[in-house]
Amino acid sequence: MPDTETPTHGFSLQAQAPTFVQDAAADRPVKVEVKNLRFRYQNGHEVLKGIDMVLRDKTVTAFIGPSGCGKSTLLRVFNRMYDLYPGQQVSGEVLLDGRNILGKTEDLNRLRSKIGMVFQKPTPFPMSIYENIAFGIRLYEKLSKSEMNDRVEQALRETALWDEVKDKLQQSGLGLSGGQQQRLCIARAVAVKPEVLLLDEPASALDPISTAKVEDLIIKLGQDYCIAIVTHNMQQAARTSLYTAFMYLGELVEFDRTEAIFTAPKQQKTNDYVTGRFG
Amino acid sequence: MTASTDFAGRAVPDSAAISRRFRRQDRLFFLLTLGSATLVVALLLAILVVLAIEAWPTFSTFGLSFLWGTTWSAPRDIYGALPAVLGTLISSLIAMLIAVPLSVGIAVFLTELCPARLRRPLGTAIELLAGVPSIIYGIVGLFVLVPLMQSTILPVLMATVGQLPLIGRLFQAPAPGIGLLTASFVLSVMILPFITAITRDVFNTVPVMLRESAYGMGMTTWEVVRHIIIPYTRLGMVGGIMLGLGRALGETMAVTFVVGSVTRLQTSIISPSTTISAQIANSFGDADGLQLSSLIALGLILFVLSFCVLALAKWLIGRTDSF
Repeated sequence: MPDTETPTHGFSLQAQAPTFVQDAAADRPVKVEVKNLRFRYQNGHEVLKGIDMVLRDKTVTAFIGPSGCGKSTLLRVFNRMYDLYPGQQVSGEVLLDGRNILGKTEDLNRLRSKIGMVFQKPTPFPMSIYENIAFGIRLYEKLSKSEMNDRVEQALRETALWDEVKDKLQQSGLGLSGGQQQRLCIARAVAVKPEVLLLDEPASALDPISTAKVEDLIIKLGQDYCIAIVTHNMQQAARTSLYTAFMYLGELVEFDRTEAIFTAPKQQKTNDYVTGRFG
Repeated sequence: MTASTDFAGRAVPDSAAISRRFRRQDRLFFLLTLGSATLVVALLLAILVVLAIEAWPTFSTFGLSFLWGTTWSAPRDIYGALPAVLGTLISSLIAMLIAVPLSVGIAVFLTELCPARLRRPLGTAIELLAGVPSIIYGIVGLFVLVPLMQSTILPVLMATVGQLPLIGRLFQAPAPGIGLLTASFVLSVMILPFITAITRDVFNTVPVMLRESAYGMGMTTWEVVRHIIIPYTRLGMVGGIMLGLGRALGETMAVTFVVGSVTRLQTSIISPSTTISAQIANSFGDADGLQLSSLIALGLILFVLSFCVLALAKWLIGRTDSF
């Protein structure tokens, strides 16, 4: 009974107690394995100090921790976004299906097409709603017009956006509300059928209703995709993820089932953070 | 007046008086700025009126046919604007055709591909290019580019594109090196830094997250530039291009050096030719009567032309407001 036995936890003070994602089945197979990952900015500041963890397939894993703990940086290692900025150094291994993606010869465009990312703020491309989704698909697949229409519709349905935009597919994506734009960005990311979905505080710029919709979406998509979500919102982590990683100052303090992290953390630091004593 | 006091009992100045004083100051400030703004409009109108009055004898003599008259002859006192107007339009057009793709390419390199260490020095070098006085471009054009055109570039052009049907005629003529194409080359280098600087600046306004999400989809740099950055910054780019065009239309000194100043309608773009501003600069000193009036009429045409370019830019910007 999480709603009666956890009065000391910050989130349970809210009207609605969290219902943790339950997964009775055994753990899914490992999709991404991180081994002794270190990351250094150009100025020499080390933001990841030897991270070891796994992301499981068809599972949502939340990264929580105070600002500057390295959780966003960790996310940006998974799709090698840091490569856009010269001078940032990484060591260790990130294995995607057993293959290290940090190698020099890695085809970054292909890698990024397999690892979708959604950012803090909605970033619709300067094109129509339809094109926002079709564009990414077209990069790597040759589809007929009707197949493409199906794929676009499917992506929009998956993100519960179809009914809201089906009559204005040719209008600019910039005309949508913030919440719709963000779901469009998620639709765009899932339309290319990625293997991993990275969500960097996907609801932090949204109103509560849009946030709820995005969270529902994350839970639903978590059944099909390997999802990593960075969030500052503890309830969001509790509601959406099966696993949670608590990071602090570049180190992985605790990594466990979300329910365990929030109800019976093993580390004092984790307990302090999830109960709202710092961070 | 009831003296008010703050929580510590100190006297507080009367707020009504303060706000009265502020209103007076605001009023004064408003009038000053209004005056400055009005002055600009008044100057613009004054220039237009003076040009129109001085150009009147020309238009009353030749009528509107001055615009398409092809003869410019001081001995016969017959003046037509077409060679100069066409020279201005064509040289600017060719300069834009060369400068715009180059500028966008440089801007892409500077913002997307350039190693961080080179970004600053290269950007500064291009900005310095904009600071070179136009007389220097004229001198370099005359003493470096013209001989090169004469000895190498023009013969090659005549032997290649000059042999093509239709457009071949544009490249067939005796070519002393000076001419419209040479002027276009000089112009393109002159407007390059303007277009590059503005394009680079507007490229830098693309939100980091938008760029990252484009790269995050697996797009190549080319795809990001072509489908995300350029559409996102279209407005600013149009502005930069129009600024370059405005400068190309009105550029005088460098063009006068290399254009050849032949006031005859030419079938080729490599022949010596003229532009509005080169024509005015060349003949203004010893012109009087109808010739002077015709030169001012040319100036009026350039004025209207530049105005139209700006208006077109505004219209384009209005159209591309939503994509």
